[in-house]
Amino acid sequence: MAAAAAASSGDPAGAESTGTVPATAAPSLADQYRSIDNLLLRPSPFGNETGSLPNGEFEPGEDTKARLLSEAKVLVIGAGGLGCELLKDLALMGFRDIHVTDLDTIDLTNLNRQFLFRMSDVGSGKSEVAAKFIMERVPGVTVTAYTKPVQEFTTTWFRNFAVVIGGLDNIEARRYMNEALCELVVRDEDGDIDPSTIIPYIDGGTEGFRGQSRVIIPFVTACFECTLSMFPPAQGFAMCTVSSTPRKPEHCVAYAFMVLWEKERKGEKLDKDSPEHMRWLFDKATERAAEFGIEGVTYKLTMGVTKNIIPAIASTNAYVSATCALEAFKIVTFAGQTMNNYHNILADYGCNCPTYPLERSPQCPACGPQMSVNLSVPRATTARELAEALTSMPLPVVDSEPITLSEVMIGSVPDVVFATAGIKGGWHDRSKGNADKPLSELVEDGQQLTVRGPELTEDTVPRGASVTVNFAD
Amino acid sequence: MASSDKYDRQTRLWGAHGQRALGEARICLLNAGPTGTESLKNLVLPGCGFVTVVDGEKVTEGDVGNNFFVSRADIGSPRAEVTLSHLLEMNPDVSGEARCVDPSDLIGGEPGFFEGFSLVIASQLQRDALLSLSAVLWSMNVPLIAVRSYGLVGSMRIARPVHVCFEAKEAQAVADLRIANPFPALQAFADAVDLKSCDDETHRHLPYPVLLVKLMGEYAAEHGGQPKTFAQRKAFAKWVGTQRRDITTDEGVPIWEENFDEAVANASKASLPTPLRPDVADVLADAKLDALESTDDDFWFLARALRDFRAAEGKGESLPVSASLPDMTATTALYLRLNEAYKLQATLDRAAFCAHLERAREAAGCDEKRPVSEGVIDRFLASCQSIKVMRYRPIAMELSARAAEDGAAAAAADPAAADGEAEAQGQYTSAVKEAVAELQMMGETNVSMCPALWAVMLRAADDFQCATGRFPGAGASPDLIADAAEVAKYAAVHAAGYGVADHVTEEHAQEITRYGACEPHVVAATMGAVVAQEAVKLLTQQYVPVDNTFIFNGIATTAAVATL
Repeated sequence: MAAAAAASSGDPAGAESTGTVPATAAPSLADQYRSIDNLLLRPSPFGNETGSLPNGEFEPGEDTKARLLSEAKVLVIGAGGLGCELLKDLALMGFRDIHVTDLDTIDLTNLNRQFLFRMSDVGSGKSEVAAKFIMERVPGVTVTAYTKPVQEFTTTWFRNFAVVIGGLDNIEARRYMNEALCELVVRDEDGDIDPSTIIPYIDGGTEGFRGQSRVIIPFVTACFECTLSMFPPAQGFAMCTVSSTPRKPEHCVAYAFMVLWEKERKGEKLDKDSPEHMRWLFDKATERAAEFGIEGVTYKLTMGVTKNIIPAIASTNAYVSATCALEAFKIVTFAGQTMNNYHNILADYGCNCPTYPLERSPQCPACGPQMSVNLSVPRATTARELAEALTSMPLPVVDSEPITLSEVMIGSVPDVVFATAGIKGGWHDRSKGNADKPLSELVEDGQQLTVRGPELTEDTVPRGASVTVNFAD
Repeated sequence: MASSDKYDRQTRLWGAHGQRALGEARICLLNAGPTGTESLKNLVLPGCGFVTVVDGEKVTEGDVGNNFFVSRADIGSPRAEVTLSHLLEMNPDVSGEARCVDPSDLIGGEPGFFEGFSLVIASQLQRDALLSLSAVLWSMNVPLIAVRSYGLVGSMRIARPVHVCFEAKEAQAVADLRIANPFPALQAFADAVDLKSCDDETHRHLPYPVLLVKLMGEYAAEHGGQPKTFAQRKAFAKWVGTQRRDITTDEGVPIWEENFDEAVANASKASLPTPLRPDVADVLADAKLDALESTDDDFWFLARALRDFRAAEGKGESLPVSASLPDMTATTALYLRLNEAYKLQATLDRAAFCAHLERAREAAGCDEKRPVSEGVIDRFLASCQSIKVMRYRPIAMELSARAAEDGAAAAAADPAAADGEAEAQGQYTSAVKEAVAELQMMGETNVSMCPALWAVMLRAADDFQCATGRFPGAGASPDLIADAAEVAKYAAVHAAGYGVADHVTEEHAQEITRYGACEPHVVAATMGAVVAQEAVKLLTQQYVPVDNTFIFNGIATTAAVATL
């Protein structure tokens, strides 16, 4: 098999790469892919094209297998509870060019589920230890490790990947990843999406016996931002309860870290991983509880409240990761239908596990409607004439109805190029000096300018409005 | 690192006692393919005490491709030993043993081997062996989880005569605060309050149970009784809201009485005794409670004591009071005073409960020297509003509903199936039909991806295997079209039996056939996750396990539970 060459020749992310360049992977074995051959080489009446979220047509055969083994590059965000599982699952499903990033180091409390880590790894970087383990165990696989948060990769770097899988524990990183993949989608002049620029984003999450996996196809399914309200705000404590009427041991712990730390250890940053800091909070919470006659402050509770610890178990992580990896496999090979598009597992009481489509939000700031007007005008066109052009006809909106503007402001505050008389805030008076100037004196050729108007709101154009001025002469 | 407990993230769910139960567990795995090892992985990690791996194979290149617990260097070595060693390497707290023998030989030749296990996980076990095993384990009262991954489809089946959930943790089950039928200390607290003359600070901090008991008394005095009809209860709730005071700060800023918000929200139910959750009602109505034997599990004696307590001290409507009070608007002093009232009643109720427990144990001739531990009593009382008992359908009964002529033979393989539910003998359950109907009701026109239909297809594949000695699409250069046609015939029999003949198509048969019994890793990992999740529930007697089959359809990633 010439597998090793294919696997290790992948571009390790070019100039962006800060990844640990892996040692050359051991070659794949002749019979290694026996368990997926039937899925890839035999025809199916239920290929991807037959599903309710079709991405492509299943063509059984060696080409499809080669696409998986030798072309598909997959990015895993996070090498924790989900990430460890994902790396194993992907490697054993025929993905051979896997990239993973995680900035965390290994903690003792990870060991009950993050099975690529051992006691001796505590303190080491998660992504590097995980990548090394997978490469040692599974022949033919290259795993490139990074130690940066996703926010530190530029959007264009994600273009390298056929699919991105998120095994994250926070909302902010998910939002960044989601927005980046939405931004990468390119449309032609008619506003039609270039399908080759769509990178599916598969996301998993768990809490105790509950978890979910979902497939986000930017501009086709709901994106992460469309359904942000599904994540309830973090449970906080009322400050007056904490400071004056504590009733529960949790209130005493909250008092220790919300009030006493600031007061008694001013200027010092609370390190929630420091045993000394945690012990201090525990002692203070215990004193507070004794003062009020409240029972039940323990070290474990102190940790739980301070760090907002979410219970995590091996089985839920395994389930969610496996379903995510399965979607990646189907999206790359088309050997089954893509999940449409949200799968829940709620296993506290029996096992309720529905799959259903989450709907796109027309007010989504990541994939909602957007106005982006391209105008080709002579250089001598004045700012006033441009404004007249923008208010004289319905302007097209991507994924929504055209909008006719009654008033318009061109350019963003404070660099307003021109605003019509009805625009509030004095911007007309401040910009009217530009009214009769030719655009060639005011803007660059091909410059994109923000457009505002009373009809342009977060509801009608959640992704904003702009005009790009191109000089025709 | 600020915690020295590597199980911290899971003991927040099942507690130290749940962890102890896992640590004492002895788990047997049959077949160490990926479905089996993934199941064990998720049990070794959380610290299940002892694992026994039974497998008769030697490691191949194919294993290296789909099983994470073998490596290239292991090719040719016994798979039981290799997988055990890689599994145990993950967690030094767990020990185990390997048996390099074909599980079928063990089931047939040495059934006594299975005595003493807390759980047996049978992975990819063929039908006849599974039937024999399930009969053996049923008679030993050892729980069985049968799991399989088959192409993109998977299933997991639990079988156990009776399973009891000490802490079912049903989300809707909340403690009864006894507002409708206040105990003396709660009534005394309410009686001592004067809503007219108390200061503003007290008025806006009186805990809502006290407010409701107080206001209910006033309402009853004025209206000649508690509100009974729906309209009266709504009127009471509205009236409670009108009892707020207009309070302002010294600067004249109005203060909204949040305790009254809580009172209004709970007012319409305030004259109704908290009904038993259906699961608890089932336990208390269980015939077992009137036929206790000294060898029965503590659970049954505790349940009997609960029933007796409810009938006597509970006046037919209350369970023992819980000592833990949920948080609510109150000052520290008022809250702690109320909590003391609940604690006092909880202590009294516990004593009465324990007297019932003793009587029940004595009547059954239990050993006085081996009492139910105090910790078990405390935990039982803390969660007595959410207990559950489950009786599983034997696997033999499910599989006896195959082709009519050998139905009787299959039932005979499981003696337990023969007595009791004779009328259900050989019957297909309605679960598959209901699953399809539910999808249709939700507006789905194409039900081909309904998970339950794929359980029907797995049975057809098994029929094919029983008849030919190989699975459809497996073996050297099989004729896929001919195999699929044969599978379709078997599927049609079961589809008709389950009442879903219109929905099982030739396409289903083609898809099952194309798999050729392959075991791709992601399906194995999915099923292994479900096995471990259910195993933890069975071993800790916390949460509620699946009744009785979980089916995964990886073609479209849908899943469901069905009672087969």
